Amino acid sequence: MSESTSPLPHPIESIMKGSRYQAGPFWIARVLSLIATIALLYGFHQFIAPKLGIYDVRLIVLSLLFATLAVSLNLINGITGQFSVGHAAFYLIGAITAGKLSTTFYTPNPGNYNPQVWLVLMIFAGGAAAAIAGLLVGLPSLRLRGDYLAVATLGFGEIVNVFLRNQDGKSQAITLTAVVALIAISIVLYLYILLLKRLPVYKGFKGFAFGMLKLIVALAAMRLAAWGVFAALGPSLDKFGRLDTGGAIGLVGVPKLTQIYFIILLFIGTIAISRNLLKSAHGLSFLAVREDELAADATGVSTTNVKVTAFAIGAAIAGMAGALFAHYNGSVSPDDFKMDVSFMLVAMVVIGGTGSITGAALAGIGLKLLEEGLRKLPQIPAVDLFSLVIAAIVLFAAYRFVSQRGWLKIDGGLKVPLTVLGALACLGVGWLGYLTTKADLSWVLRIGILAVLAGTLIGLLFTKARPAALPRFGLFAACLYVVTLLKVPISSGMHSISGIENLIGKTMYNPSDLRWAVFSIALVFVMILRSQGLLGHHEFSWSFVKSFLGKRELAPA
Amino acid sequence: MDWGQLPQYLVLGVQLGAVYALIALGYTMVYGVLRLINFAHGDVFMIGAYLAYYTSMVWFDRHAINPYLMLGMMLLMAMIGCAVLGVVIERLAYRPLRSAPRISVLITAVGVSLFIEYAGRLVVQTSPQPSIVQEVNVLAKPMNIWGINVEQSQIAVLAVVLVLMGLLFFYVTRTSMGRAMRAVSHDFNTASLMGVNVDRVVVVTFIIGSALAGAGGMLQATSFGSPLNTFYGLLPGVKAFVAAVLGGIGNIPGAVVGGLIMGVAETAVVWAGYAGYKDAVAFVILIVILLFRPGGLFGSTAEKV
Amino acid sequence: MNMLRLDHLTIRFGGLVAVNDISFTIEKGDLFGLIGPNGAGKTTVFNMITGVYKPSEGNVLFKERVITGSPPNKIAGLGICRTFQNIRLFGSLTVLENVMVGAFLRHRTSLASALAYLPSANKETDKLRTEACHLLDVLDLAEVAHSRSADLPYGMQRRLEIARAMATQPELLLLDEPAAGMNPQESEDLMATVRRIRDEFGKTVLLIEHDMRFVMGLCEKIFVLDHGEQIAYGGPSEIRNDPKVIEAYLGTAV
Repeated sequence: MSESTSPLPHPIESIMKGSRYQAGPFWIARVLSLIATIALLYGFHQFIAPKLGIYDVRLIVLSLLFATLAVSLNLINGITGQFSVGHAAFYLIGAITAGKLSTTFYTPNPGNYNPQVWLVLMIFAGGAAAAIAGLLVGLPSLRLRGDYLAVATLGFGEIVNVFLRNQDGKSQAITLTAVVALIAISIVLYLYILLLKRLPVYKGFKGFAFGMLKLIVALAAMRLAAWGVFAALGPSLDKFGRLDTGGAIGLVGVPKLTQIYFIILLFIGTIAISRNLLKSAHGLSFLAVREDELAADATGVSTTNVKVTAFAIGAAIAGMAGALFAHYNGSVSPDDFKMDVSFMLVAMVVIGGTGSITGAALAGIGLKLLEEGLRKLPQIPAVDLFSLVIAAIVLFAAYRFVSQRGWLKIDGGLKVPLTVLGALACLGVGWLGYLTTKADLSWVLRIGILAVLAGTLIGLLFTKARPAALPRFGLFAACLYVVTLLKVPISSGMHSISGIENLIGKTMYNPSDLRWAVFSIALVFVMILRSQGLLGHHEFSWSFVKSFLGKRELAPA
Repeated sequence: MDWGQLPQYLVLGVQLGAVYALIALGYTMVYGVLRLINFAHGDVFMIGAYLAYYTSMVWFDRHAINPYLMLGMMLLMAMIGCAVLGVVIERLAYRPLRSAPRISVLITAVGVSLFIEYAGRLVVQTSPQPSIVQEVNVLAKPMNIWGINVEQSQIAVLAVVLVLMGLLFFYVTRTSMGRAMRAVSHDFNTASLMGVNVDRVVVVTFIIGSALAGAGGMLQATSFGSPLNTFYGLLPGVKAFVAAVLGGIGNIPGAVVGGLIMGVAETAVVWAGYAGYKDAVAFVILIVILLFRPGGLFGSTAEKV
Repeated sequence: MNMLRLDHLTIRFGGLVAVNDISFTIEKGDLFGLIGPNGAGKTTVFNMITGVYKPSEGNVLFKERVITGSPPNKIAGLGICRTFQNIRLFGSLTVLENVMVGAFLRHRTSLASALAYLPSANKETDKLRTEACHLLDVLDLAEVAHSRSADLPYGMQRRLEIARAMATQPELLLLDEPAAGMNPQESEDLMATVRRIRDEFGKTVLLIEHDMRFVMGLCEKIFVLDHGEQIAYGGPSEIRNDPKVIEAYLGTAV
C-alpha cells in the first residue's frame, strides 16, 4: 500500500475525503486537545473552584460521576447492544474494594503515602475488581440474549448487593476459607462441564437416570472439594477472620482523598475512550455485534471476545468511578447502590439515545441535576397536588374528546391565535430564565435550568419546525394555565368533603419524595413519545446542531 | 439446622412457593403473549395486599361480620382491583409500545413499576406501616397434621391457590379464549392473521395475571401479616419472575413448579441458618438456570436465538 | 486442489432428518451450484459448512482440513465467507462501514491501540478503509458509500452483502440465493459479477439458487438436493434433462 498521502483513484478519493490519516494534522489535534484539557482544568481551578460552595461541588461531582457511569454503560448497552441492567453493582464493587483497601492500609501520615498516588492506586484497584466482575458477568452473557440477559445482569447486581450487606464481620459474613472453597467448587464445576461433553447422551428413561446420576456425582464432587478445603486450609486461613465491609450500614471512615479534578479527568477520559473506540475499525465490530450477531460471526468478528471485552471495559470504568466516589463521600453504603440506581443508569442511556456517547453524558448530567434540583422546591399540600392531578386528567380527557372529533384544528383556523399564544409563552420562558438567575439555587443548578430553557427557546424559534412548533407550544401553555385555573374549584371542593379533609388535609409533600414519581412518569412519557431516545444513534455534534436548526440534512441514523 | 423443624419449614416453603406461583403465572402468561417482562407485576401484587388491608379496615370497624365472609370479600376485592389495574397499565403504557425496540419497553415497564411504588407511597402515607390485623385471619389456628404443626391458614392458602390454578387450567385448555391465548403465545402475528383478536387476548391475559397476583398479595399479607409498604412487591416480584424462568417462561405448569421450588429453596436456606442470604438464593438459581437450561425445566433446551 | 469436501454429512433435528448422507467435492475455481425444491435442506448444508450447526454425522473438510463444528468466526478466518438468504446487513451502519467490518478480519489492530487512538491503529484503519472502498468500486456501490445500509434498495443490499463477504478475503464464497427478488437485468449483471469474482479475483463460489436461468447460465457443476438427499449431480445440460430433477421440481405426469 502506498503511503497515505498519495492521491487515490477517483471515486475512492471522494469517499475517503476527510477521513484519511495524515501525521501532521493528527499530532496537532492531539497536542491541542491535551493542552485544552490542561487549560480547562487550570481555568477551573483558578476561576471557578473558588466560587463553589460545598453543595455546588457535590452537585458537580455527582452529576459527572453519573455521566461517567452512563457513558460506560453505553459502551455495553448502546454500542455492543448487550442488555445490562446491573451496572450499579460494578460501581459498588469498585467503591467497596477501594474503600476497604484504604480503610485497612492507608494512614494519613504525611510522607508515608502520597495521597494522590494512593488515590490513583485505589482507582486502579477499584477498576480491576470491577473488571473481574465484568468478566464474570460477560461470560454468561455469551449464552443469553435480550430479556434473559437483562434479568441475569439484574440478578447479578442483586447478588452482589445482598452479599455485601452480609459482610459485617459476624457469623453470616464470609471467611477466606469459604472463598477458597468456592473457587475449588467452581474448578470442579468447570471440569464437570468439560467432562460432560465427552459423555454419551442417552434417551428416554435411561437418559433420565443417567442424568440423575451425573447430577449426584457432580454435587458429591463439589461437596467433597469444599470439605477438603475446609479441612486442609481451614485452620490456617480462619485466623484472617470474616470479611467486614460494614454490612448493611456500609463502610465508613474512608479517607476523603478525591479532588474534583480526578473526576473531571475520568469523565473526559471515558468519553475519549468511547469516542476512540467508535472511530476505529474495532468499534465497527462492536456495532456489528449490536446490529446482527449472526452476521457478525459469519463475517469473522469474534462476538465472544467483543461481548466480554465490552463488559470488562464498561465495568472497569464504573469501578473507577466507584473508587472516586468512595474517597469523596467517605462512606460506602450498599443501600445507595441498589436496583434503582441500575435502572436510572439504563434510563439515562436510553433517554440520551442508545449508542450516543454525548447523549448518555448529557442525560446523565441532566437527570442527576434534575433529581437534586427537585429537592429544592417548596412543599406542596397534598390536597393541592391531588387537585392538580385531577385537573390535568380532566383536561387531558377533554383534549382527547375534542381532538378526536376534529374540532381542534391546530393547523387550521386556530393557528393564528395559538401562534400568538406560543409567542407569549416564549416570553414567559424568558421570564422564567430571569427568575432563575435570581433564584436562591446552587449555581450549578441555575446554569442547568438556563441551558434547558435556552434550548427550548432555540428549538421553538429558530428551527425549521417553527411554524408547527409555536402553535403547539401555545396550546400546551394554554392547557397548563387551564389546569391551574381548574385546580382552584377542585381543591376547594376537596377541602369541603370532610372525609378527605380529615385524611389528607394537613399533609404536606416534600418534592424530593415526589421526584421519583415524577421521574418515572416522565420516563414512561419519553419512551412512548420517542422510543429511540433524544439523540438516537447520533452524537451531539456540530452537524447535529445544524440539522436541528434546519440548515443541513443529517445523514440518517 | 434443626432437623426436627424441617417439616415445618417445608410447609412454610410450600406456602411461600404457592404465592410465588400465583405471581409467576402472571409473568409467564404475559411474556408468552407479548414477549414482555412486566416489571410492574410485583407492584400489582403489592396493590392486592393493600386492597385486602383496606377492605378489612373498612368492614372490620363497622360491622360484626362473618369473618369467613370477610376473608372472601378481601380476596375478591384484591382480585378485582388488581385486574382493573392490570388493564389500565396495559392500555396506557404497553399498548403504545407494541412495535418499539425491546429495551424501550423494558424501561417503560420499570418506569411504571417505579411510579406505582413512589406515587403509591405518597397516597398511602408511610408511617405507621399498616398491617392486616391478626384477628382478621380467623384461620390462624394451629393444627397438627402427621406430627407437623401447621396453621389452618396455611392449609387455606394452599387450598385457594389450588382452586385458582384449577380454574386457570380449565380456562386455558377448555375455552375458546384459552385456545386463543395459547395461539397468540405461539405466534403473535400469525394468530392475528388467523382472525384472533389479539388485543382482546392481551387484555384477558392481563386481567387473569393481575387478578392472580392480587390474590397472592391478599393471601401473603393475611397469612404472614407483615407490615405493608409500597415496596412490598418488589422482591417477591423478581423472585416470582425467576420462578417463571425456572419453569420455562411461557409455560403455565412450569410457573407453578418453579414457584414451589423457589419457595422451598428460600425457606431451606433460612432453615440452614443463612437467613441473611435468602434473597440471594433466587438470583443464584436464576443464573444457574440461565446458564444450563435457559428454556427452563419444562421449556426446550434450544437457546433463544 | 480440493477446496471443500463434504463427507457423508448428516444432521437430525429431534426425529427429523434434515440432511442425509451428503457428499460432494468442490475444486478450486469452481462455480458450483446447490439447488433443490424449497425445504430440501440447502441452507442447512450452508449452516453446517459455516459452523452455525454441528452435523450429527460426517465431516466438512476445507482444503483437506477438518473444520466440522468450528465456530463461525473461526471458519471465516480460515477463508470461507457466506451471505444469507434473508439479507443480514448491519442496518444502522453505512455501506462503507459494513464492508469495513469484513475487512477488519484481515487488518487486526490491538484494542489498546485503538482506544488510545495511536497512529498505528489509524494507519491500519486507513488501509482497511481503502480496501473497502476498492471493493465498493468493484461492486458498483461507490456512490452510496455513506448511505445507511438499511435504506438501500434491495438489489444494492444484496451486492453489499457480497462486498462485505469479499472483504474478508475468502478463498471460498458461499452465496445463499443471491439473485432472489431480482429482475432479469439485475440477475444478468449479478451473473457477470460472480463470474468476475471467480475469474479476476480467483475465488471459488458455491451458491444456492432457485432461478434456473441463473444457475444454468453460471454454474459449471450442479448438485441437486431433495428432502435432504442427493438426487443428481453433474453439469448444466445433464441436470436439465435428468428425470429425477424434473420430477422433484415439477412433479410426475398425471
